[in-house]
Amino acid sequence: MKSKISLILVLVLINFCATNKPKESSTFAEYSNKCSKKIFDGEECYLKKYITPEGVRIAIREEKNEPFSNSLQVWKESILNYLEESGYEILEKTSKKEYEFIKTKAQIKENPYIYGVAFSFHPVDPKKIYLIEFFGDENIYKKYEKEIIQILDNFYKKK
Amino acid sequence: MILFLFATFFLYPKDLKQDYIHTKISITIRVSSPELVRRETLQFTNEQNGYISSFSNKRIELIFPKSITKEKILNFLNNRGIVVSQNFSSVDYSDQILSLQVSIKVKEQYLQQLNQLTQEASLVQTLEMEQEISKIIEELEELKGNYNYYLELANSINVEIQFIHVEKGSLPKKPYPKWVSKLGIFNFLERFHEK
Repeated sequence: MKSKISLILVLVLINFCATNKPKESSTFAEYSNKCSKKIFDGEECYLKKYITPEGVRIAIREEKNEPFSNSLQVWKESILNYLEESGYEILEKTSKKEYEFIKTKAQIKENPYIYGVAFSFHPVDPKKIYLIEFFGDENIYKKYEKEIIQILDNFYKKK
Repeated sequence: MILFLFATFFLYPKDLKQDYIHTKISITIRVSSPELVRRETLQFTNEQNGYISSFSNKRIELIFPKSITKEKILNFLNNRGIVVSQNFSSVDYSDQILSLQVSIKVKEQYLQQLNQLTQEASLVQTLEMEQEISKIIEELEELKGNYNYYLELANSINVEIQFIHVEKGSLPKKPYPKWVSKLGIFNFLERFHEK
């Protein structure tokens, strides 16, 4: 009986610790003024937007999978071609378990910037694509890279 | 018969099973900063104990030791641009190398025999033999030169990289789906503060 009570106590304690775990502090500020109305020929607003004091930005939005393709590779190739032709240098292109990840570099007036895209299909509606863009000065980006990847991982894992 | 088997055993190259295949890789890559990619490629070549065979503003030819895998080279280039085309070819130099090995061994033995004979020969015979010896040494050096050349080829990978430069800021040449063509820093910044 005693052992049963102590086991229950241990379980209660574990549960208490798990639910009262302090939230991870984030250096990204999250925008709360997400607009609700549709603007610009039916495009929807961002689902989430983040920014750091130095201007590193992350934005998450939905896009229509148009023309429809059920292959992420098709879109990956298309995005890579588009970015390359637009003068971006591809630094990384990775197929992760939950999403595709592309990181590029661009020179704007002598300054190097990092611009990246992550995307995946909507888990329920394949006619939609979850798209995340991020951007920042190359040197500042390095400071936030881990956190950006964490935000991407968390978003796509939850979906 | 026993003598023949004995000679064959000693003359037969011991490293017959060694791989004497030379690999050539030709890659065309589309990059936005050829200068940067060229610099990084040269650094990568140094790190992998390779060297430059030829160099121009649009093309680099590199030689790598055989220990490097073509996947490693492709992986390096894939992260720096879009690989437009890649061609692989292999040439087996086993025949040339083995034949040269045998020729060198035969010539060396012949030279050794001649050297031994000169010790017992008369003055006239020695002079004739000296001429023969210098001729053999010349042939032997040529054979060794050819042997080293093929051996080096067989122990290396030749990588030819051609760069296609994409102008920075130039407009894409192909039409892209609407949502793809909205990507990019300027569109992103514009949208970020509007939506």
